[in-house]
Amino acid sequence: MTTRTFICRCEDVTVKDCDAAIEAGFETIEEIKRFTGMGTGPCQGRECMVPLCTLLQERGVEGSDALAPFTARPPAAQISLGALADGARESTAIPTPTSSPEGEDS
Amino acid sequence: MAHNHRPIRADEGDRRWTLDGRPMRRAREGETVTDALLCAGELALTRSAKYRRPRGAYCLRGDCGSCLVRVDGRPNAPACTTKIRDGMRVERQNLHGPDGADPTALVDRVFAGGFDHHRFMVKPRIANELMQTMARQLTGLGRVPDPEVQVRGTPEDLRPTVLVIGAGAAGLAVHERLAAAGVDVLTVEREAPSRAPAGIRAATAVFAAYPGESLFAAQCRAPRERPSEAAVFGEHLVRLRPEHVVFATGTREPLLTIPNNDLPGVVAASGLRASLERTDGALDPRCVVVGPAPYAAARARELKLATVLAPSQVRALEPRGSQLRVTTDDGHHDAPLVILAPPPAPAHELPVMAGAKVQFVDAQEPACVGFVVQRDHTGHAGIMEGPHPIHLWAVGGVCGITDRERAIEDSQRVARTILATITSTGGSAPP
Repeated sequence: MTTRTFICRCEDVTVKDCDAAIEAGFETIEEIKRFTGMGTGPCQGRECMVPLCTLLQERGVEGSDALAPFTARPPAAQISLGALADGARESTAIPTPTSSPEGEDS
Repeated sequence: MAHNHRPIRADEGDRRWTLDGRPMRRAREGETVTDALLCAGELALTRSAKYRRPRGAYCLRGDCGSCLVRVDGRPNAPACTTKIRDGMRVERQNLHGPDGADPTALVDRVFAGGFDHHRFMVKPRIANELMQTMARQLTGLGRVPDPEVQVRGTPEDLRPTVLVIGAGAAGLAVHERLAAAGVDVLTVEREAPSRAPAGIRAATAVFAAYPGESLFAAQCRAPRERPSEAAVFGEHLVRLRPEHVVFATGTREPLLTIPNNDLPGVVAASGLRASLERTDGALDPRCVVVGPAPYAAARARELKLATVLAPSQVRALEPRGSQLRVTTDDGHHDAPLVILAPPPAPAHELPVMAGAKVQFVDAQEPACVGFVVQRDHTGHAGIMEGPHPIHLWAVGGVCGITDRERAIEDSQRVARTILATITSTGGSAPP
């Protein structure tokens, strides 16, 4: 088995790839994410963001800007497109707090 | 296929299921697909996106995303959170070629100086298009669902006074305190334990905070008519519009950077412990725990394992038959599983989405490494600004409080503050 040390398994980003990014002048989590693609797979950074922080610390890159998480966007958990689409389809029928709360729940 | 080594020995249950059409050891009630796979010694589930390396489940609790399987004709079910039902058909996805094959070696031969996707076949444009098409054929997330698979569920709208996200020790402590005081509190938990505490919505994962709509959104993996019964299908959307949200999302186990940390059979310690509880199985004592000293020692004690290594001691990690060989300066260990014990990392994403602030910490006290939610001395973590401002609170692991007793104490204190806030603002608390 060819040896690789991974930071991000979803997108196959290794420690070496992150070092190349640092060498290219990218020193924050956000920049390294954009350069390497780490954190953009199914786990959305849950597995790889902290190992990258630790790597940046080891490499002496520790500014407060460097160790800021990249933007958290939905979905933070797996969801089916079907369930999401159902929500959009019925969104016009959502009762708002100012109107009477007569959904089919009540 | 070679004889599989079984890392977990567990009694058979009564639930029949198949893996790629082969009947497997019957699973017990409450076992997840990854539990049953560990008992069967089936560790490789898919191949990675770029290097096509064999991959399997790591976190075993719904965080990492490398255990996606096709279940009863539907792609991308997380094997680690999908409970086995009688007659279930599980198929591995995206697994071309023989199990052990490793095309990484070929990549290394062809690209001796390293593979740089910023430059490889980017120009001319026609070459780039060709390469993209080919890459998309190779990788991906399974085939489309079988035509007869129906996923339909009417969304649910809920307006509790307090929404607690996470039913671990901290979340439960808040829930119990508020429920006892008569507050309209809804606690949601993404996992589906066999015995969910009363009043908890299990199998319901909050996946978004939408400040612009003063909305939290969750997916419930259960039919709307029977929300307590976790199902593979029948999921539906839950729209939550609370006045207060308590983040009790806890911590998780990220990856540790040791060589070949992506191999099937490298799993996270706490996830494995929960798996052992569900299967009531015995872990092969030759399994090796790898992690920074205090965490690795603690996890090894819980798992009753003798071999503990610091990450820096691991010189090499390679497949050896159906086991993994860990090489150190002093020799080697052949282990059915290599169990990583990283410092816990707060699950910070939802609080951040809602507008809470986080700070990176790397400390023994609090015993975690990652982004902890910032809050004031009362536990208040800000307000989700929007048409209907929502108060944010945070308790337990997501604030770096990883000790169970301290987390419960902290949660009770925060619950008292929430109660006082609701009562003073004439919320839905009783007089």
